[in-house]
Amino acid sequence: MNLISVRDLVVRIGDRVIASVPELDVAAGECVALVGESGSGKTTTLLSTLGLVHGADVRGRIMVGDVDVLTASPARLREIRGSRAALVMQSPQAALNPTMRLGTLMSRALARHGVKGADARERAEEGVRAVLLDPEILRRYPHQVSGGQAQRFAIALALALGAQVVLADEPTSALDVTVQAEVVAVLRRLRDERGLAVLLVSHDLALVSTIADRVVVMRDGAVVESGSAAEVFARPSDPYTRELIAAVPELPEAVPAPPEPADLHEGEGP
Amino acid sequence: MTAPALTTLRRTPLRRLAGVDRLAVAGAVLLGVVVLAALLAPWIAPYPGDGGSATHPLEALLPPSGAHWFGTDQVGRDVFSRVLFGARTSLLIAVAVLAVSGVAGVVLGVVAGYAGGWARDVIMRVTDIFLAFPALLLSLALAVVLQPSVTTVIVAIAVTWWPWYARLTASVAASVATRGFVDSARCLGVPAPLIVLRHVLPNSLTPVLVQLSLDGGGVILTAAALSYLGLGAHEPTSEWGLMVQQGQSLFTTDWWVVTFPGLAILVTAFSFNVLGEGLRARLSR
Repeated sequence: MNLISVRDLVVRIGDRVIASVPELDVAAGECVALVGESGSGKTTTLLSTLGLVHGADVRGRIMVGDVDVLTASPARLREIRGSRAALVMQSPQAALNPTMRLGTLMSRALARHGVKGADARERAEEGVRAVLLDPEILRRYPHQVSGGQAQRFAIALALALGAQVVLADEPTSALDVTVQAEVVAVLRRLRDERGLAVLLVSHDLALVSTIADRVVVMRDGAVVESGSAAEVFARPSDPYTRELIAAVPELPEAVPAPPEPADLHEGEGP
Repeated sequence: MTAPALTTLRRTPLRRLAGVDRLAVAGAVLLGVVVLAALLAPWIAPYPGDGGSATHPLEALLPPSGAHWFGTDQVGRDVFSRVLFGARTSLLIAVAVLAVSGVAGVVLGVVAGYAGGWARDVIMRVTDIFLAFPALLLSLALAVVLQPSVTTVIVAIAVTWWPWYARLTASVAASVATRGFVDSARCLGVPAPLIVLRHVLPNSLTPVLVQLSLDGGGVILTAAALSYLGLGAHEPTSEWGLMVQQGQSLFTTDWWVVTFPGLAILVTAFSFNVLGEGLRARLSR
């Protein structure tokens, strides 16, 4: 069964169609990437899956599990946000309240979804370990962690809340290259080991090629091409997709591993 | 290389302030002295009874001496004791006004800033109306309508003071509301009241705290002005503005009666100002 299933989605502001997606499914353990340039409607599509598009007319049918997002009550929507599908944002540190320790933030979010006390602590630590962070990080404030750590924490939060889908909106574009690799590696691992599904929005085709199973190419609010990642990258049928792929300097075979911590100490005297 | 960075994390705000701004520390210390004087007045005043209605006609208008450091007033009360007790009145007024107007202004401001739309329009237009009155005149009018007392002073000043905090908080909250962590709270299913309380409010407070500190001096001056005009504290309460008013006709002959309470107002207002200025420099970086 699909975790997210979108049919005939049309998002309008006034008379202008800003996103039109006839069909989009995300199954467990699958990474689907929405690619396209700025203004192509990919983020709008992503946000509409949790009913987070405001000031626009959203039509169609959006199912998150068994919940119909467009007809669900506000309370039901708040319930599924985070616990079914959780958003991972572009700039990780801006997404964390600077006055709260990460652990406080995590336990508040868990309490909001009915998980409290020892159970909450356990889930918080388990989530943090799953993204390869030390649970010690829960005692820190957002300004005391790096961008990559903050982004992995956002993923840990999604896991702790029990989300089966991570909605990642340009999750690496605010990070530098080695840190991007770190985040992608974590997402891939979680997909492979836990069957976490990822709906990824990105204009970074190099990133997409390393993680996506399926690709949906959007332009000016419309889907111009979709299919398996291998197929789309190998034989792009749409001229716009070909343009996008040609614009990528190179598609690396695999994401390079982050540097060993030992490298950092090179050159330092005894 | 990493050691200094680690110690920076562990430094207390006061220590960091000390490293940056000695004037602000001086302000904090002076203010601490005034607060101590206010708290301990009944125990450290050489003539505790003189803070109230005691009279010693035979000792009236004695110049400063070992027995009376600041001299005595028209009815023979020790001016030093009265200045100490006056600190209680002035600080009580300052704290009460800042608390009442701060809470009212921040609550209205943060709601207006986060909600936007008609809620913001209503709150901000009411705020504008209050700001359109000349503050001291509105305070005066209120103080005349109500009976002269310390409570009257607090109410009269608070009414003209809150709109500044409402306006300041609204603008800060509106910008905080657009930040990523507010979006992410919404995306985690947090309802609006909790978003305001836990995410918008704590991140909107810094400029208000600075402003509150800067305004402490202003409130004390305004309170002194109201009492000076006979609309605030009245005899036998020790209040600096009232003491200045009662001593002013004696200035050419018995300068100490008016000078010491005047200096107390000056020192306290100055301390609030430099402390607020230091906080602003520190927190706005």
